Amino acid sequence: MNPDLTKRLYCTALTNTAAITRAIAAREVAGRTVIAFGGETGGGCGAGGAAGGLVLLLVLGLGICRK
Amino acid sequence: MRPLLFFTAFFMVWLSVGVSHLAGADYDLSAASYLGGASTVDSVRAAVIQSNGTVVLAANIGAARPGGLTPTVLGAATVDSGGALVRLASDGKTVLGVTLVGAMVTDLACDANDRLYVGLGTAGLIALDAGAATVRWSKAPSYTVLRLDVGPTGTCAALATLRQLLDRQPLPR
Repeated sequence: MNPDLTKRLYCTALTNTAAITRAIAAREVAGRTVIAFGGETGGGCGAGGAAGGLVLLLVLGLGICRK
Repeated sequence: MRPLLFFTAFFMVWLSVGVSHLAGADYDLSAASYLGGASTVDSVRAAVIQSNGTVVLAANIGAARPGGLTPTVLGAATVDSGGALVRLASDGKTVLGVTLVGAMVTDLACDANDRLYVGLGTAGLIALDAGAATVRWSKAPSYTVLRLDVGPTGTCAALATLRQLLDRQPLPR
């Protein structure tokens, strides 16, 4: 888990041609709308590159947005 | 080929619009990350947000252990199981816990008391407390649980494939 990954990775995961979004949840929490979603990318969204490009490690995408 | 190209173009435009909307002024991104490892079958299959804001993901994570935490192992799961519930803080930046519940997970729901109900594929389904720390009950029927949902008081319904029926030739009427 790398909590410091940025919006860029989040957008990359969603726009990757292999990305599949499978899960989404939304709820009002303390006056804010929290949306959580996830899926699978099939790899190739950046984590593999960070590891040296030998193995594609990234297979999940997770984003949490607040209104 | 033209209908396929049209559909592909339409899908890409639709996806771009959706991403732009989420990443635009209406919402501020709080966190984005990946949870799995090198497995090609890793995936987030369902997400719920509990009343205190805790985000719970039902995810197949293989041997990965998000947050570097030692997972809680429940039910028929072992330390090598890949079907997990991953609990995150409401901002998504902290892993609160990882609970292994089986070889795979297929769906997740929570009732009005935040208790968790997890589809386990061929292993049936399992009901846990709100903290995913103890098993309340489980069912291991002879069918594959693919999707499930639960009412406010804990009445659970599962959508499943009836393997016994499907294996019979011809199918019963």
